[in-house]
Amino acid sequence: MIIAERKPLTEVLEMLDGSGEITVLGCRSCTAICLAGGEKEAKEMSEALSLHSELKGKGWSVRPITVERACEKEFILPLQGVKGTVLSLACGVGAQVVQEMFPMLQVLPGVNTSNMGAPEGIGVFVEKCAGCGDCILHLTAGICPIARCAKSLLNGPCGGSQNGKCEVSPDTACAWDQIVRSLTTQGRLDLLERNIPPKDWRPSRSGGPRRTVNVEAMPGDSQKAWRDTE
Amino acid sequence: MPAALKAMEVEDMDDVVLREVPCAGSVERWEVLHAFRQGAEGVLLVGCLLENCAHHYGNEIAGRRAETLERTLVDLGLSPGKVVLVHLAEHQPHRFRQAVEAMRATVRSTSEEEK
Repeated sequence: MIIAERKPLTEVLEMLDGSGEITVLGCRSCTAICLAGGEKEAKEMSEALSLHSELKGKGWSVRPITVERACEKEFILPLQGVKGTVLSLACGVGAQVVQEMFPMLQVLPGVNTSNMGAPEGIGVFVEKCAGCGDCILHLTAGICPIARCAKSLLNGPCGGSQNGKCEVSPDTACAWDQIVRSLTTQGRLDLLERNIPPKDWRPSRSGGPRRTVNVEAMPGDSQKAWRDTE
Repeated sequence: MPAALKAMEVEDMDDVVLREVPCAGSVERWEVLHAFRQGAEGVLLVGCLLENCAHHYGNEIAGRRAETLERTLVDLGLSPGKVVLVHLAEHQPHRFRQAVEAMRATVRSTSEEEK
């Protein structure tokens, strides 16, 4: 899932200065799970903005709309007819899809989108994947050293690994410590003998925004013609 | 709730609106903000005594939410002290009255600043 955090309210208020009609967009997918932008948070933000408007005479008209998944065009149709400003509590992907679908709207980010991760416990979310486009999890016991090692080292820990923790923070586990322990459990320590060569970063960000195409899923001529007649 | 109801039996509580909830920890932040929009000048979240929480950790949740709400309300332009969490038991209506008095004093002292 995509991890996001709510922006400070003061920053949001500053962004919205001069707005009139404001729609707070919540998303029931990732940002709802990480408690940054689901239905409750959209309702809360809507109430907060309305209260601020009433206290300071801003004249804002605020309402919340929460969709199932803001990153897919089919799911953001409830925004049809919306005017003015959309404060998106969906991730950066959702905000951009909404902007693309409704170019006349001013879409503003209400959250800071951070990474791809997973809940570690209640209220704690940890980055797991850096989306490098060249996965090596089969060599590292299912633990990604690109995302989870501060130096993205490919062949073992650095000298900053102490008692299973990374030198950057006592709260951060050393990914290579975890990898070695996991390989030990699996009886696959021999994998450590295998040199992982320098990574091919071309499938990563170095080529600009990535475009993934699944040719089989793309509509053929007759499907296109049928869809066009709809 | 019984303590609040008992406290309400005396005079001079006309400015207090009670809302019954199953647990202080069940009160969502948006509900408190909505209360302010409906005209509340202050909100008391009334929970069980600490370590006597009927739902084990409802008090903790309410405490953290009250802290977040305090920051939110200040950011929105209200003075501090407009959301207060108080802990009391059924036989302590006097503590509820004290909390109401304290909130009234906060509202009185800050109403000018907010104008």
